[in-house]
Amino acid sequence: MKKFFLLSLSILLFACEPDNEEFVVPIQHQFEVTYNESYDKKPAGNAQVKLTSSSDGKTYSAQTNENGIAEVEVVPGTYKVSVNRNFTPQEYLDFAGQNVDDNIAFNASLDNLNITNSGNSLTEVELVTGRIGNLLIKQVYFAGSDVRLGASFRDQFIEIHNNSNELVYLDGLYFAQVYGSSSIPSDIKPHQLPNGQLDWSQSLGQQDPDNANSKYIYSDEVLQIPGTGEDYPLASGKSVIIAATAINHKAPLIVNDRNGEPRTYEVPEPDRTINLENAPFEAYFRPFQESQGSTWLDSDIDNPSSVNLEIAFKSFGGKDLILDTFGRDAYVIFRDNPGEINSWNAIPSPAINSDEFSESTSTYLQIPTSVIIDGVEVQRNDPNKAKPKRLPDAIDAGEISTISGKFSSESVIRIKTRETDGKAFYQDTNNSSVDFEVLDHPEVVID
Amino acid sequence: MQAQDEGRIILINSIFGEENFQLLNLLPGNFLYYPAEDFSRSALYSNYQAGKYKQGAAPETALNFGVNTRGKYTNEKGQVFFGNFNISKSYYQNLAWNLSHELPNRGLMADPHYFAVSKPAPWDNQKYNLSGGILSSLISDKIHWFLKADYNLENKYRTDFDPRPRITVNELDLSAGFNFKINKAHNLKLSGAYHFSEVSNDITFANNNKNQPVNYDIYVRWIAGYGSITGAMQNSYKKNITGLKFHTGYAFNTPKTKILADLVYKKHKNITLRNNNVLDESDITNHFARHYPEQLNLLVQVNHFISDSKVIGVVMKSTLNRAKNFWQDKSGKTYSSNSEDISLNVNYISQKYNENDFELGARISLWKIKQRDALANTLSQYQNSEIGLVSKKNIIMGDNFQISPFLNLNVRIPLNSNLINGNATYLDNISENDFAGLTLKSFYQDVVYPDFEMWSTPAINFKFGSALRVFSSEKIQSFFNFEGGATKPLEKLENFDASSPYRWHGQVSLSVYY
Repeated sequence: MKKFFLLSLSILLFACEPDNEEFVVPIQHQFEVTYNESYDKKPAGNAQVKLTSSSDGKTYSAQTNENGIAEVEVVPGTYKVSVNRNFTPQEYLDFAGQNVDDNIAFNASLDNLNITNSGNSLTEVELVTGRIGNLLIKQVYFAGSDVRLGASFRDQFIEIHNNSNELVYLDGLYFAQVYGSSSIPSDIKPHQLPNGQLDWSQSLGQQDPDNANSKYIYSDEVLQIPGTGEDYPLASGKSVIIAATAINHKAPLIVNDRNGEPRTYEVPEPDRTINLENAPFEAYFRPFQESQGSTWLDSDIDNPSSVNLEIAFKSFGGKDLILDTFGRDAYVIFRDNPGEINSWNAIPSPAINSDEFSESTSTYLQIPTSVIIDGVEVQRNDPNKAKPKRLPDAIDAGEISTISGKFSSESVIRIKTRETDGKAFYQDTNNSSVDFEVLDHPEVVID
Repeated sequence: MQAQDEGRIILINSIFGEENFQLLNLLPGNFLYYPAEDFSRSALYSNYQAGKYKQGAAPETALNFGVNTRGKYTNEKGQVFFGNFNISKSYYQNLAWNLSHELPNRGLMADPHYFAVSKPAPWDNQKYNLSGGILSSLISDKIHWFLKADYNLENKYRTDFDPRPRITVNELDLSAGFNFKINKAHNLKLSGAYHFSEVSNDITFANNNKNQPVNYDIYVRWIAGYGSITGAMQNSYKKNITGLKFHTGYAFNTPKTKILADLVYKKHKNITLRNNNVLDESDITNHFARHYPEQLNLLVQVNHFISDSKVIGVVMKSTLNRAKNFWQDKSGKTYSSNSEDISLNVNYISQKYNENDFELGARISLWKIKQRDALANTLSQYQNSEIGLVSKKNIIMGDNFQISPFLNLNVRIPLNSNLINGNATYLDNISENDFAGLTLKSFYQDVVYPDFEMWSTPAINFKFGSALRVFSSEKIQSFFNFEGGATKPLEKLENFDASSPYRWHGQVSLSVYY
């Protein structure tokens, strides 16, 4: 009996051991938000801080107090952070003493912020304000439509909008796809930044390592609208579409393949795709591909009534204007003096060392952010598979993804702020997370 | 090994015999003291259960059938050979929230890390088990030793709808032990066991384009506790499970009275790797989580022969389980579970014609479950008592025909319960495109709330059936067994499809003893 009692006692002790030790629990994390040096690093009150969990997409929000401090209780993990502070013209006058016509937005973002129980409980964030240009990337249709029932990636397009009150000429405008890491690795490599993005300061031939990751973006494909200066006007409040291929994608596409054999791309459900036959601009790559001795896409056909963009730079192997259907991309439009682009540096990925570098190594055009008019960071719809940001906060502090992912027929489009006399104007705070929304089906308006 | 004039426990056609054999198989050293007849049995069996009164991560229907052979044989040298071989096939319908190789027990998953989707689907499973061992003397009858090996192979497939996991489970248990005879009646036992198992789960999609967060009923999520749901690392994982078991025991053995007391401690380490192609499994950065379950088990069995044909049996079982996890990305413990179960069975057996002619048993038990997910701020605990009665009687209908009807009645009475849901405010304010939040909301609606309600309201369970002895000779006896029963709550429920759901089961088998 005594033995049994002792055994029972040990069981009881086993059972009563507390289980509330060592638990990882939600923790308080502070953000100290300031404006940048141009504003004497003043504390940024009333800024919205938003955290998005990289593992499950769960979001947390907070607002800074007058000292620029925001506190949020979060589960330990890795987060994407965006901070935003908007001023009305009157608020901006009171704050900075300057008169402005439109709202001013300050933004900041952080990728891959790791919040742990044992780590730093304070994160400092510096807000920047971006350039508000007259031209905008209004809509991007990168998801494409169903591979079997629609037009796959053939119906992709981007839309440029004149958000100013003046007529703007599109002649010479560049459109670039921005190159960078397509995923965040679980272990950061030496050639990557802490957020998983490429550290371009380590690239062979980099001439401005101090500013390599903040004052430049890197592109593997740059297209340019042709013209002599006043060939392609865009009225105030109007848009133009640049199609990958300017045809009616709702109709079956009959082409000759590279062997001259006829081939038909059926479109069993035309409602999934769009008619781009009247798009004013398109990307037609076959002449360029032939000049390089490369193959071309048989679906990349030329619409004589649509103006072909010129290829200003290309190291991407795409045989047409192909936007990543997952959303692992970023896009910018920019201008510079004629020919200036040819003087810009083109460098290899920082993953390439001198032993690996050869004439066939892909290089990426180093574009100064100072010439960029507008940019949009797009993202995968699965937060668990997100890529690190490719654009600096001054160009786009946010990102936008479709809801249903690749080949879903969804597009991302800026939120319309006003419409007057048939002219539409769209939101531009240099934060696509708040400036854009998702459409179930692209909006195709061709005047 | 035992004097021929000792009373014997009969395992054939016995309610208690089935339970006793399973206990003996767990601690084979006890074969030395357990006065059981040798036997060999082969059976074909099939059982089916269906009904809405089920746990959220359990199938709505389950059909199992299989072949089982088991036996115990003592040779002329007194060496005992024992073994079990089972092949079973099972089909599930409407299994949701569980892409694991395990099913929940009293609302608790043995390992809280697994893939899950809310969309139910059918499963097709098969399982093979082979176990056996030997118990023999080492030095006259003073010391005995045993060796036992147990191997399980299981395949589970979700067949008809995306996502489609293919789960393979390989398990190996090796155990060995010694029995020491102190004097004629008193004995000590020591044994140990090593466990290793590997679980791999590889998920494919017929239409991978649909594996998007927006399709949150089929988008693969990772359950990491009880309310913590995260994105899947990749569409595969691997678990390596190792464990050790230590056992010590005492046996009192006289012709009239047999007392077996055993204390077993078991500890496992379950490592979940981020995918099933991890090269360096020892690198902790490749671990998603490590789960550490422990179990302490006290078992006391008393069999006293009132006469040559009448036995009083008492079985006291106490099991304590405790488990905690370490979630690598969170750098700490995020989940723990505890369960405690103590039960007392008192049985009376009357033997006639070398069979258990009449069996009567009463059972009372007390158990409780507690699980806490610190990150999800969710705590669920419930305590229940159960009272049961079981009885069986042989009725001879002719020379070769006999029926053995039985009835089993069990009532569960909740004693106390508590559910804390720290996510409640969040779940009430989920935005339209917060698919992680919508998934979490479904998990609480489909699993947390119904399971808690199920185990915190009273229920009744009854089973009845009979064995029909269809052939009997000196060497062979065959039985056709059938059984039916149901479980039903004794209060109206709010979190189930019906306010008064129930679950029924049926079973048939053909057993041949030879």
